[in-house]
Amino acid sequence: MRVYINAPAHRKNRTVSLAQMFADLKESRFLGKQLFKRDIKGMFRQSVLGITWAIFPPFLSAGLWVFLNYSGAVNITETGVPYPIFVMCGTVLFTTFTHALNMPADAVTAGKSIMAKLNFPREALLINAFYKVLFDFGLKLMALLLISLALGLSISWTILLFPLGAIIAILLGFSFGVLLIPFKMLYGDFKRMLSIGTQVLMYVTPIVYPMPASGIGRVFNTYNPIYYMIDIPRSWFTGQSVEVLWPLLAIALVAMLVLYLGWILYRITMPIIVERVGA
Amino acid sequence: METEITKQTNEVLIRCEGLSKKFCKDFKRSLWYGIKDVTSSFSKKAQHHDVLRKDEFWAVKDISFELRRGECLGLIGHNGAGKSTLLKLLNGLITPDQGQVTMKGRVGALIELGAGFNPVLTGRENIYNNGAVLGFSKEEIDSKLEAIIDFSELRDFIDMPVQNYSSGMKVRLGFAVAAQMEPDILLIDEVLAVGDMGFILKCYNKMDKLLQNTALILVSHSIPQVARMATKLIVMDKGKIMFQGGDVPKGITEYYNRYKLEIGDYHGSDKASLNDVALVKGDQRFKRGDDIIIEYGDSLTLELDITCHEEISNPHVYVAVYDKEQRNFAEVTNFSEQIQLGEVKGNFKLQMLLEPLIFSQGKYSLTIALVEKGNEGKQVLFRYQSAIYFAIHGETHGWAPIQFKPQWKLLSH
Repeated sequence: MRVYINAPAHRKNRTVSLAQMFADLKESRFLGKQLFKRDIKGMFRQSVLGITWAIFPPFLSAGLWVFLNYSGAVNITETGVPYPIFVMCGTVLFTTFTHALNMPADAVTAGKSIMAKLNFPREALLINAFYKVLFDFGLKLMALLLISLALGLSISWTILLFPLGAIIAILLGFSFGVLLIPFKMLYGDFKRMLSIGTQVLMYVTPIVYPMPASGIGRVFNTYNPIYYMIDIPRSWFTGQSVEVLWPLLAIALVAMLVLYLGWILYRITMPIIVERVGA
Repeated sequence: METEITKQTNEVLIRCEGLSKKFCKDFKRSLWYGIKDVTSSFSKKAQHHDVLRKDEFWAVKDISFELRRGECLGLIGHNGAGKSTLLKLLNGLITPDQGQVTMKGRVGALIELGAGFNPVLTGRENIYNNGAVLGFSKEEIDSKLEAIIDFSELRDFIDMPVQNYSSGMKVRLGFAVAAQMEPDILLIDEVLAVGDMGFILKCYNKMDKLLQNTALILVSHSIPQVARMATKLIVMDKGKIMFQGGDVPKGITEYYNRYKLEIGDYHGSDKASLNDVALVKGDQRFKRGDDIIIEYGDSLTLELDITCHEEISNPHVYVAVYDKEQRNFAEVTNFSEQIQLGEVKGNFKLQMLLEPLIFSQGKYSLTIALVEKGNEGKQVLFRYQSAIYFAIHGETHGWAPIQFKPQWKLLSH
């Protein structure tokens, strides 16, 4: 028979058991999936255009940049591939990243009221968030492929690596998203800060324009992991050569580490969050 | 099965030892303490757990009890007494500041019915959502789906969006799902407020069945509900235990005595008014607000002073007895059989002698009304709801207000 002891944190055995964490993760798979199905079904049942809304934003943003470029309002240097494909691929990757960054806290906030009343494995909310990010990316990927083919993208074998690169971008966003959950839930300030931060990041990182040949932008982006996170998968997608691969691997490693730490923090802080801001 | 239940009956499933929890009144400060707690939870040092910081108070303080399989603990107290916080501590939603809880076995919570419902989805789909939140596996829900739909009696509406359900229907569906749990420990918090009578009775039945094999904790403001189910009682006040024990009626009486809520409501008319109400005991006259104690089996003498401002034909005095739950459980309607006043105007005084009083120990009130039986039916001239209170003192205290002491004979042995 299962025995559960609820005691003050300082008296509990503080060793974080990986086995226990994964056991809980396994136990919450069905609930996570069910919550995901519930949210997706609910969303589509009350909308006419359905999945269009998931796909729309990055392509709208890409369309605007294409318009600005061709109208001469901005002048973007040669990217090596048709500009629309270049910019679409970049915005899809970046919005997927920000989606993964925001989704964990959003999903946990949405589940706050049931969390304050029922005890279920809290990992289920993270699984729900992860599925949503993957689902959203899947739709965008299909749209990206179709539009790119229509625009005359020449397919190379490296395109097969693109989903892998995107997964790493998702992982990076998701891991920081999980790490930020307690902060975002305690103080509304973090949500606003993050929203401004990602907007700034969108423009300082070469996403809608290629890497500057020189200047402050080049220096900054040489050390900007987001640049590598976007550029390497994009090069795979468009079949351009990738000069350095290790930054992407480093990002993947850091993401795994941050995800692990964030997960531990999430488990420790959830009772405190439920107590302080539980609905 | 029978032997298995009896074998396990004595097992202690919940052990709560010196449990305490503090909350902060100020929200901003509460958040800041939250940040501090998060930080300090990483260090081995115990901080701030035993002392109250600024704006903090004990929401739950020093609660200890044990609960075995087959027992039901009723938890009563005013709003904000700490009942729900205690349930959250038991359920592991929040961590205590002092003490500890040990829970053995699968824990089920009937705390929010229909948790996880999405209003635009159908009842059938939401059975899966709710079931998943309650910890069922997909296979379990698949196999119990028909039973759930049958229990809810909502088969005709099961494929309709839940947002079109009435609140009672939502509760039905939520309870039907939750009732499929087979927990060792069941926590129930005030869930059956809505729902029609038939369904509530069905729920009680189900809970009785569950109780045979679980340790149940019931939080409710409905004292009859607690009295019906509880085998043990804890009365909480400001986070502390005010009463604890197996004598449920005694605890309920203490709960009522603690809160001297003597409501009273007078409605008069131009035709007649009630000037004075008194209870007489020997040569003592007691008025409303006095502590009137009558022994079980003694008599009660009520004196009334009434003025008729207009001529009234055959007024009838009506007396009703209410218990502490404001249940009208007895009445006196024989006035006109003994006194025919004819046409009256002006002041008159009346006495009513009622004996013996066979009420259970506790507090009661009398409601007095004057009725004129005219051609167009009855007309109430005045009505004084809970005009005077009195307490019955005696060894008999059961839950029911009337306690008979009949003669018994052994016919065979």
